[in-house]
Formats: sequence, structure tokens, C-alpha cells
Amino acid sequence: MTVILEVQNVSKTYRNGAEVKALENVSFIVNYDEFLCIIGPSGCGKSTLLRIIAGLDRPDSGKVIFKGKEITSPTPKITMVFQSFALLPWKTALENVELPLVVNGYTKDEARERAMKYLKMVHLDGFENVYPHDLSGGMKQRVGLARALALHPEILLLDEPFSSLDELTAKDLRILLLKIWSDPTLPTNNFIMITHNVEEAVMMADRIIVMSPRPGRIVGELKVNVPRPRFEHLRDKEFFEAVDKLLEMLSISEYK
Amino acid sequence: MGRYIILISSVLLALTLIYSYFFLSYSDAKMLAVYALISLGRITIVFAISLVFGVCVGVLAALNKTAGRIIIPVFDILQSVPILGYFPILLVAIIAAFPGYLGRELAVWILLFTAMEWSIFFGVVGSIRAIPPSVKEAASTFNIRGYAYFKNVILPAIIPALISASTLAWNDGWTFDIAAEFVSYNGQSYAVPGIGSFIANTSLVNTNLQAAWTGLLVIGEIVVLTNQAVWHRLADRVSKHRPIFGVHIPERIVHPLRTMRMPARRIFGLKFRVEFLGLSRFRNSFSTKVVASAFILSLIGLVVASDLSELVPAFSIISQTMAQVNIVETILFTLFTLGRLFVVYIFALFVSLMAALAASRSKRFRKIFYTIYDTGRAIPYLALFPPLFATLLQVMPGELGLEVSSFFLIFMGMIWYIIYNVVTAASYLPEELKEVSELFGFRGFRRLRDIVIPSTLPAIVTGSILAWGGGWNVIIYSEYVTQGNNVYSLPGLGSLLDNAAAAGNSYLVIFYLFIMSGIVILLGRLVWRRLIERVERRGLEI
Repeated sequence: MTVILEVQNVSKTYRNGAEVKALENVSFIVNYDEFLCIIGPSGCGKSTLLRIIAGLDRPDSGKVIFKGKEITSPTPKITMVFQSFALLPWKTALENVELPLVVNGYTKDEARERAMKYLKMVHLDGFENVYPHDLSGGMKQRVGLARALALHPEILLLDEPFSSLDELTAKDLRILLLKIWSDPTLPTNNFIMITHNVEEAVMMADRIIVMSPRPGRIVGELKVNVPRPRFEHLRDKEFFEAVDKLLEMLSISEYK
Repeated sequence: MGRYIILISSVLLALTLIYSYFFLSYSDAKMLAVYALISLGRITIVFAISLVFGVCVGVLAALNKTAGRIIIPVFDILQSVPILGYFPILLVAIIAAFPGYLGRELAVWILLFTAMEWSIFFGVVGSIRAIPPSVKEAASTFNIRGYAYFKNVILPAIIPALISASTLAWNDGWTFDIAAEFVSYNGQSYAVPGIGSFIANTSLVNTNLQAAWTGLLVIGEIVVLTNQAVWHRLADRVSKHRPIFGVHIPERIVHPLRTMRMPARRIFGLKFRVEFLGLSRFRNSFSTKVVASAFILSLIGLVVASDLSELVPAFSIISQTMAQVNIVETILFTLFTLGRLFVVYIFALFVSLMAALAASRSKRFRKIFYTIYDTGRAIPYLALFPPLFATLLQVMPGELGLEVSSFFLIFMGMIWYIIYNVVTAASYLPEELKEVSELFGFRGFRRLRDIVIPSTLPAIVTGSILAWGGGWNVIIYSEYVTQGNNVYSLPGLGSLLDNAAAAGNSYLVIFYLFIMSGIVILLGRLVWRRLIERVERRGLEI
């Protein structure tokens, strides 16, 4: 079995006064240990898609199968990192990471130990007792990352995790994220990341799915063959070829 | 929806008036429609005065630093004294100056003015202060000054707040109408014709419960009708056509998290600004210690002054007043009143939090909630008190009936402030935080404790401050009542004050008002301010 997640003919329409067709017949698979990126212009329904995979939202038709079972509600096996970090402002960094663990049945001590370990992994040791308000954007996203990973999910969803950060901070975090993904000692090896940054997608992903603007449909797919670690190959011909291909697919989807 | 409410409430109003004209067996019942019109006219005129005054003085105070430095603190103190406490004294003073009907009418106008003015004034000041610096800079870059600045920047900035404040003021006007139109002082009752005095008369003087409840129904219908036909429509229009600077002041204040926005439609937010300005001003001026010691020193001063009265004749008034104060009784009764307020407060808070929990999950609940809120808030609760008490008197002993009505009245005076704030804050919890709590499985008590309470804490604090403010006014009105030839009273600070007023002892009234204001200020310093600081330390905004 190589497929961990399967999205089957998912469609979703929002009726908020006007009808907005967010997703139309979207299907794809995610393989074990794969880093998948979904790229598309803003308003193409990629966030909606991610929320359906997380079980936060239900599709109008179609379904999402995770390890043979349909997803209908959130599960600790699939967690998410948010664009706006979504930390609880009234909890410290440590408490933010601990709380989901406690809620999901870990004892206080286990939760504390696990949270400390993951905060250390994202290089936040020493900031455990700081409130989000006093953390920089990059640090907040590190907490968000630690919180999502601490539950040992099998799939990590990332909703434009770097687009609220400045480019230098984003660069650091991308490298950290790739390190975490390729670390065989960690139980989370499947990443699905949404982005609208072409270079970012090529730098991170094994495979990239390209979506069209409203209604969101899949218009193309690209397997990235640039060798890893990618930050050593940012000037390679293969890298630029991948970027160009992706841009071409995106522009086609724009004029269709 | 709005159209149906207008239709239904006008039909009901007409039916109620027809009923009162033909079927009520009460001598004055045929005049009910006329009384309603008189009160409507009175409130409308005073409202118009408050509006003009509030805009002129508010713009002045917000734009001119020197004027603001004087006007804002003065208004801030004025609005923190429970108006019903000083009203009897004011009434007597005015009647002494303008004898006869003119004096009475003038006193009513002044009370209604003080009930309506503050929210308008502070709404104007608050919204002008909330104009973002970038907008001001843009205006001066493009050389927009003087009248053009007023018309294109100030006016659009204050209009939403003005509508919110007007709605509040209008409702407050109706709430206080009964207390203004019918007053007992020094064994005499002063009444001016109007629907408020009609309700008071039918409940407390010539008991006719049917007539009393009919009068209350008429007030309720008028308020619902005018709210729908005027204020809601204006608010809808404004929120449709003028998205003012994204963040609308009152909402910013209720709002727990910095980046969130709310639609401009909802009205109640404004009062936060009122209290907010007051509290933030406190913070910069004196420390808690200074205020507390000033209060205690002046208490000691009163005692000392009364001892010195033989040396300094002017102090003899103080000594005479102090001689009438039973200190143990005052302390004990103050505790009773605090206990009464506290019990109702906890109950109101509990109801509000449950509603917030429901609102954080269900869109449908939110819709239903705002309809309930709009109607509930429209009930002029002070007018509810006399008929309620007179009715309870039929089935239970007077003191118990008074305790029950008092409980209910305090509840009505507190609940809307808290529940509106807390539910609104919970409804506008950022989408990601709702997702986080679902994603990581926060349910039931956990959701309440870890998500709903902390995220609505600023709203809980502001709502509580306002609720207690409302509570104090209610206490004065509901701890003491004369029905027929009987006087009923509950042990409490409010009834001490009312007793003094009934005996015509102005100095004693002032003394109790002083105690009351002192407690209000101390509570603000010791409890609310600390809570606000705690909330702000977490980076949340009140």
C-alpha cells in the first residue's frame, strides 16, 4: 500500500447570499512519505480543500479517504499549521503546545515532556513561558509547527505557513521544515502544503498539484526531480526548468 | 424581517390603545394614548437636545486639547454618579427655583438629559479619537482642512457611532422615563403627565394592575416600533454604504483580539467606550492608593469635622448629618446591597457564558440571540418594576415580593450588557481559533475554559463593569417602594438613600451617594482595573 490519502471527486459550493463555487471535482492521491504542494492563485479553493482534508469542513459531494477510511471529522492523525499561526493568545508557548496533548488524553507530565521536546526541535527552548504577543512572527509559526507535530500526526497540513512572514525568516523556516520532514526518527512523514509561491513549491515538494482559479480544479501536476537537499541546487538548470513549467501551467489556468 | 416587526408592533400598539380606551375600567385609561404621546414628545425633544449638545461639545472636546482636558473628566465624573440618587435633590432645588409645573417639567428634562447625554458625547469623542493617524496624515498631505475636513473626515467617522449612541440613548430615555415622571421626596410625590407616571400611579397609588400592565405594554411596543422603524434602519443603511475605516470604534472595544472586525450594525458596543475612556483616564491620573486614601481621608474628615462643629459653625451641618448615620447599619446594609448585586451578577454571568458557548458553535443560535436581545433590551426595565411588584404583592408578603422584584430588576439591568458583549465576542472569535479548537478536539467544559472564557475575557470585563453600573441605579430604584399607604424596604444602601430622600434629608442623601460613588470607584480601581491590566498583559485589547 503506497497511498495514504485519496481525494475523490470533491466539490464544494458556498452559499453566502451569492453562490461561490470553490471546488469542482477535485481528485488526487498522496503517497506515503511524500511532500506534496498544492499551488494556485488566490481564491482557487486551496484552503477549502485543506480544511476538507482536515475534517473541518465537509464536501458537497465526493470524499476524502485516509488509510481506507472516510474522513468526516477532525482526527489527531491529521493536524494543521495555519497561515495566521492561530495560537491561543492567552496561553504561553509551552501551554499552546501542551494543551492539545492534554485534551487528547495525555497526562500532564507526558504532555509537558513532549511539548518541551518539540519546542526544542523548533529551536524555541528558553521561550517556553512567553506569550504569543511577545514572540516574533517566525517564532509564532515555530510554536504552531511544534503544536501540530507534537500530536504525532501521520499527515501534516500546512496552509501557506510562510506567507505572513518576511522572506529571510521564511527561508530559515523552510529549511527547518525540510529537516523535520526528512528526519526518520519523527513519526510525521507526510506533508501537504498550500502555497502561491512558485519557487517555494519547487524547493519543498516531491510533487506539485496546480489548481485553477474559481471554481478550483486541478489543471496540472508536476513531479520535481531536483535532487535534495534542494537549497544546494537553487541555481541548477533543473530547478529553473521546474519553475518555468509551473509558471506556464499557472498562466494557462489563468487564461482558460 | 424588520418590516414585519414594524407591522406587528404597530398593529399591537393600536390594539392595546383601543383596548385601553374601551375596556379598561380605570378612570384615567381613556387618556393613555395622550399620555403616551406626551412621553414620546418629551423624550424626542430631550433626545434632540442631547444629540445637538453631544455633537457640538463632543467635537470640541475631541479636537481642542484644552477643552478636552476640562470637559472629558467632568463628564466622566458626572456619568459615574448614579443619576437616580441625586435626582430627588435636584428636583427639589429646581422646584424651589421655578415653582409649579414648569419646575417639575424642567427637572424631568434634566434627568432624561443626563440619562441620554453621556453615551452620545462619549460616542462622538471616541469615534473622533479612533480616526487612524494615517487618515489624518493623508488629509493634511492633501491639504484638507477646516470645513472640508469636518465634512469628509469627522462627519463620516462619527455617524456610525452617533447612530449606535442614539439607539442607546433612546432606550435609556424610555427606561428612565418612569423614574423621571414620578418621584417621591419628603413625603410628597411629584408627577408630570406621561405614560411613566401612568404606570407608577396605577401600580403604586390607585392600584389597578390591569391598567398598569397595559401601560407597560404600550411603552414596550413604542420602544420596539421606534427601534425598528428608525434606529435599525439607519444602522443598516450606514453599515451598507459606509465601511468606515474597517474598524468601528465600539466594536473595537468589545473586540477581544486585535485583528478582528465586526459589522457596524450592532449598537450596544458604544457604552464600552464610555467606561473605557473613564477607566483609561483613571489609569493615567492617580494610583489606586491615592484614590483609596482620599476616600478614607474624606470619611475621617467628615467625622473630625463633625467634632469640630462647635468651633466652626459651618461644620454643624456635617455634625448633624453624621449624627444621623448609624455606622454599623451603614456598613451592614452596604454589604447586603453588594451581596444582592453579586448574586445576581454571578447568575447573569453564568447565563451569558452559556449563551457564549452556544454562540461559538452555532450560527443559528447567533441569529436567534440577536432577535431576543433586541426585544429584551427594548423593555424599559425600570417601568417593569412597579407593576411587577404590585402584582407580586397579591401573592406574597411585601418584603419577599420586593426582594424578588429587586432580583429580577437587577438581573434585567445587568444581563444585557454582559450577554451582548460576551456573545458578540464569542461569535466573532477568529475563524482559525474556532478551527484550532475543533481540530484539536476542545469540547464542552474544556471549550468553555480554554477557548470561550479567555477569548471573551475583555468582553466579560467591559460587560461586567457596565452591568455593575446599571446595577447601582437599579438598587436605588428597587430597594424601597411606597405602595398605597405602605412603605416596603429591603436592608441595603439603596433603601438608606431612599429613606433619607423620603424624609427630605438632602445632606444624608448626599452622604449615602458619596459612599455609593466611593464604592463604585473603589470597585473600579481594585477589581476592574486589575482585570483589565491582566487582560492587557496577555496582549489582548479591551
